[in-house]
Amino acid sequence: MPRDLPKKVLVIGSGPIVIGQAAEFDYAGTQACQSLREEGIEVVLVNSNPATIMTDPGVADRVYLEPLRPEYIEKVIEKERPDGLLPTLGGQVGLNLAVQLAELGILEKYGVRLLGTPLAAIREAEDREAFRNLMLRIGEPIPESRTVGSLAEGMAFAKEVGFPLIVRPAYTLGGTGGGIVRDAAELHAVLSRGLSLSPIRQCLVEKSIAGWKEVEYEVMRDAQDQAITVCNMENVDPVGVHTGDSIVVAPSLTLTDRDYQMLRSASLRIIRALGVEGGCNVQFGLHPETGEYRVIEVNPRVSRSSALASKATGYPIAKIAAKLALGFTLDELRNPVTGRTTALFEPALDYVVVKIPRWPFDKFAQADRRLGTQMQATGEVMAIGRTLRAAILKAARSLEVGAHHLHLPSLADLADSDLMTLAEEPDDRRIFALAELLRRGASVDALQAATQIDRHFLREMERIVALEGELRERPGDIELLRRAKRDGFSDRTIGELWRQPEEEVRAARRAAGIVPTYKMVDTCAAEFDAQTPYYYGAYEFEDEAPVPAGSRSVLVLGAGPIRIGQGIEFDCSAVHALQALRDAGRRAIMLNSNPETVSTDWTQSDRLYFEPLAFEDVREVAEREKVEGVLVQFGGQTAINLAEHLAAAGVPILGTSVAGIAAAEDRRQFDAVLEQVGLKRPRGRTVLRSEEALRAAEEVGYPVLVRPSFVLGGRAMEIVHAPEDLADYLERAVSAMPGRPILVDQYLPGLELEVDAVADGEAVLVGGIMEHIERAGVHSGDSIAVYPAQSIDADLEAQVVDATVRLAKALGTKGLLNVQFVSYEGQLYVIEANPRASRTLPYLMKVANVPLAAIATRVALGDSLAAQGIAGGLWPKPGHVGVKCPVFSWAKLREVDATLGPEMKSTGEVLGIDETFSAALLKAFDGAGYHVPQRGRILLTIADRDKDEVLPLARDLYRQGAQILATAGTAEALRDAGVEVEEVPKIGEQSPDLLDRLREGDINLVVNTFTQGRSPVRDGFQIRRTAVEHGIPCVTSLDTARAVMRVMASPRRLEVRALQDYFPQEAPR
Amino acid sequence: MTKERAYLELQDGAIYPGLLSGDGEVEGEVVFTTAMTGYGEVVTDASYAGQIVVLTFPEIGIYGVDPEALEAAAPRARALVVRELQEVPSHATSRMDLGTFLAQANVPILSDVDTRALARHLRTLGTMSGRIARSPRGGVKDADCQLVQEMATRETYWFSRDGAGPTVGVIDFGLKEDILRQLRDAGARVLVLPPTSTPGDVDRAGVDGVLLTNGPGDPSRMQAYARLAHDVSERHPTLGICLGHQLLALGYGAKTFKLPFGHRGANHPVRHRDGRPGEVTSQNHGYAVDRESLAGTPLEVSEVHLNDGTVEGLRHNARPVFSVQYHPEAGPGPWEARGTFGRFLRSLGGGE
Repeated sequence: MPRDLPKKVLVIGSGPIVIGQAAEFDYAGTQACQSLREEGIEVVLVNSNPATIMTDPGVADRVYLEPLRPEYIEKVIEKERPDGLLPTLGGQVGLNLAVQLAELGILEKYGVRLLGTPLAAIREAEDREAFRNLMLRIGEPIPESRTVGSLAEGMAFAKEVGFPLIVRPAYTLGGTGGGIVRDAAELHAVLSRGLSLSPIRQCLVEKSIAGWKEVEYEVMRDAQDQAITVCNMENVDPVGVHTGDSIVVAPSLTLTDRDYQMLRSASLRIIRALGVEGGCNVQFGLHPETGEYRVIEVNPRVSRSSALASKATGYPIAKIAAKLALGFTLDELRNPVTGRTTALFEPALDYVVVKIPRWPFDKFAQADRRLGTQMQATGEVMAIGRTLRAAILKAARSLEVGAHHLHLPSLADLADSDLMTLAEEPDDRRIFALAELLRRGASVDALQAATQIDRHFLREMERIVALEGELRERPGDIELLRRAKRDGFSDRTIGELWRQPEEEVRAARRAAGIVPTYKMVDTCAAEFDAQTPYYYGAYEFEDEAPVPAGSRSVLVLGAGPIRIGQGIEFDCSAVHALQALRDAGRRAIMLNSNPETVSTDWTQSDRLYFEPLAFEDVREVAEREKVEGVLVQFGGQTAINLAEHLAAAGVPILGTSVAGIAAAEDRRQFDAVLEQVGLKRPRGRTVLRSEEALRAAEEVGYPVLVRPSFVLGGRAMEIVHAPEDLADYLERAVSAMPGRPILVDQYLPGLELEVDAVADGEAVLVGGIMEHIERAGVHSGDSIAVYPAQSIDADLEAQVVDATVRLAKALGTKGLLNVQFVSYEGQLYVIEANPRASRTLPYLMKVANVPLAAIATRVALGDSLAAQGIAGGLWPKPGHVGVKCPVFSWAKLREVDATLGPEMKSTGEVLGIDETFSAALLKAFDGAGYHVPQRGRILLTIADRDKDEVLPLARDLYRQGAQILATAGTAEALRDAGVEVEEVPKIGEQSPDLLDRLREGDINLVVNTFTQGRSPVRDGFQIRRTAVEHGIPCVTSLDTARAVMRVMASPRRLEVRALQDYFPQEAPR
Repeated sequence: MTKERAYLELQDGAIYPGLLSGDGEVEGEVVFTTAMTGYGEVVTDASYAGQIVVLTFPEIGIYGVDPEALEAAAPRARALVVRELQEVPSHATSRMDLGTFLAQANVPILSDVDTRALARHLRTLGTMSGRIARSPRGGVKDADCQLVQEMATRETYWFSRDGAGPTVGVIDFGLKEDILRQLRDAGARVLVLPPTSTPGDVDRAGVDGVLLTNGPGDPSRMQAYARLAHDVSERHPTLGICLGHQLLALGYGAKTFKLPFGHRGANHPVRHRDGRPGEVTSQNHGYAVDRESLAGTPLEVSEVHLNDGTVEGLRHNARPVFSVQYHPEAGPGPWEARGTFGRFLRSLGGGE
């Protein structure tokens, strides 16, 4: 027992979801808060991300939804006076902040003790040079490297260590100008470029270990120097692909005991040398032939990998890490899974775990989708099987990329040589390309040579492909069917190979008694009797998950992998649903495939099935559990899409019926419903050919919103203003997908409003009306949202409430309904309605303090609003304002245009909450990392059609004291309007041009509305990319620009307030 | 390799189907190990002699067999039961696939078994005997695992006589070669003696210390070896490992008992009583020293198992004699207890 437990501990979260930092920190942070409170410690939490469970008022004693910046945290510290700070559970953001606070002397000033891993250890692990020195001191091998200032030095180093090498120019952003070189000529080219780009003419030249096996260990250590490895993981993709972008197996499969123990021992030496007290992650490269290894990096905190390791083993790393930070030791802590063994032990797995990342390239058609050292995945799926083959196939069908097997139909048309290129230069489709190559007869050796992927992984894929062939040749063979099921094949895939409907395969399977069994994840390979309600499916001899008789169970479907448009918000609502079910006396069962989430923490439900969100897998669980019904409204579009199939199979859907879902989802049915209740929607047409599209556009009137009816790696939506632009769009879209329908809709540039409501068939509770700052045309998920809506009058408010009520009744909604409206020229139009939890739901629930998810869950169980004591109509608006601001991951995604449009691009969100709109807006910008200066230099590059609109704005900015910079055309217009402007040369006009000015850090803010025409595309694109890559806020909508102006004009006062103080009464969960 | 449908039939009548590689039927005590790596080391560990070993980790055979890493040149376990047997290995150190390695010694492998179900069965009902056969027919007899003589050397031999380090006489009850390698690497000269040696034989060998090895079987039925353990430890600094540890305890008058389903795996936490940090150890034992029975002996408990509190280490209160129940040589398993060999050699006045 530690002697001096702190009384009050500050926990810093990780803020908005960005690529590389996702839901795993909500999982870790939530566990940490619970772990601290178990010890009677008061927990103060700061996190700017409202779509998290950790910011629920029930999770911490004091929750501050404030920007994660030192000045705000200092305010929180000043107000709360915590005596401890837990820095290692909030990702890199939380860790960096803690270090900053320490360096600024704030911790010392207020007597806040850093808990767990000491600052020196954090610095030593984070600082490249310090880490290198430590490794050299303790004799751990790292890749050879040298800092060079000339070509000759670089060449000499190459002669010593050989190729390939990595060149990293010093002090360029994101390593710009560097790269891998394979011979002297390449080194000459890259190193000379790198030296000229580096402001100090210096490059680090490092021996590349690309192609080595990449292996990670999750390590824990306590203050008494006891250390364990919780889990190791092996990347299927060798070194060269970022581990977050790699397919990963756990535990390692191709390492002998000696390999395993050698790296394990090194991990323990490293964590001890660093002095980490808590969790840490160590990454290694292991040479496949010689068996030598190199330490790649260490993260002295919980990480994405530790979340994966926790889910893969059942061992709650974050919970234990929090206790270790308090000074508890591993041997005195219990393993919460078995309840009887100690936390000083290493989980033994008796299954294989596979993780496959989920990338956003379906949204970013123009992105460079090749994988490298920069992580690009937004999320991941995990699957558990008794064999690697079963786990791979389960993971593949969890991905939701148009594959329900290790088979991506879109690759079928590619030539062998194109597939081979995909194998050699990996992108997100590599595993599918490898399977396709094997199908076409490529040898394992050839693929190994092309990819350096261990033959074992390729051979197992070859066995999957071989079994496909056997199935195709022997339809109806029951023994083969049994083998295929044990290998993880879905009924659907077997049906395709047998040329039979899935239902028939299922019938044959069940007739032969081939049914899934469920096995427990127990950390100990069955050695001890564990009580973890955490299961996975396998076709085995024994089922060990008996269903308790007489239980009233409800299955909640999760949302699967995090992707753009379906993020952590859905998981947050799903967890609320689980809690509401338990409160209502139901057995709450969770099914999900995402290891990063709180919903897949086995303490959140009565039973967790870690299974694919595919029809067959969900149905098997629903049937065996004899559920009262399935809740699909909390699992995003993933769960909604399963509803129809499940209902057809006789599985009861709770809440809104399948017909009600279809009425909202199906365009034609929805039009009919709107007509029936007298609501308008923008005019639209569905067309097949270009000529029809042009005609349709004339009918509905320009500007029009065009999009393909299926967005599958194709073109995104666009707003086009003229026939020439439409023709251009059509040429690109139609040639990409001939014969696919195209939707042409009237585009109404009005005020966009959004509502989240709960209906019970009779009454409708409108949780709140949110207003979007950007007018319609910017995807609602990328708009800044304000609640309560600031610019609507009582009449419009009443119209929105009334329309929502009528719509909910007409759709037959039982549960949640999200509606998006546009108000244009005095008319209210409905854009769309979603009969499910929305992206805005957690945000609204938090700011309005209205437990919509719980209320909806009760409605779905049959308790009307009245029975819950809730009146219909609009929930009372609070006196404060909450602003939700989107956060993007531009810097991580190469060649993606940093502009807003109808296609969603943001990966996360932050909340700014304060008494006034302006103050909340400032916090939202601060939280999102868009530092808005009170004065400053603003570059305006404005499309011609926006020039009239920009003049008043520019005038205001100018009066505000901003210095305006613009290129010739814009400058002239501004000068005519009496605004003083500094003219900047266009790109390439003369040096320094405006890109140089951006790179020099001379500009604080960019407003750029260049659109998708022909030549401006390149200029606009370059300006935007240069801005975001240099961390300069880039605003692409004049509406956002006006909001920025508002913030610039408003007085700065920095006040923080806990969520509990906004709602002093007992806050519902 | 052709595989036929076959069964593991347990003494209590439970039957687990699988696919059999190899021929002939075998009976033995059925035990499970949860170590995730090192199946080659496991099957060549003589402590498993007479036993049908169930591996709970499901994917077996991936990295083939590396003769350099084995605990004996040939398999020692009676049979292996696995979920998934890989026939084509993938590793630079592999010289043979596991199936062939076992087939050469007529050790059958039953694969495609729900090994998790089997482990649950054994955990719940305790270790019992079983038979692998093409058809179940009942009447599984109690297995006899008293196989020290079959496993151990009959002749004295030098494993390593290089260097000027202390000479350790290793009394072989079914040793694991990693014990010898660890002694050698820690700087010892290593002489291996048969279990039938007398204290006089040991004295005459001119050793500076004695190591009593692991081995198969019920220690309480090995009174002669227990006496040997006692007698040599009265004359030489002694380290006992696993069976050697149990024999020492018995030799000094303590008792051993059978654990319900043993400790077999690479994740067993042990806490030292001297204040050293707790360690994760490799274990493989079905019997343990009865803590109460140590009263009145010169042995005291130095280490305990954190999960069930059983005795994991003993220390003589007056002589340089100590023992561990776990396997400091690992093979397979964690390496942190390897320092035991250096400590032992230092107690002899040598080593690194």
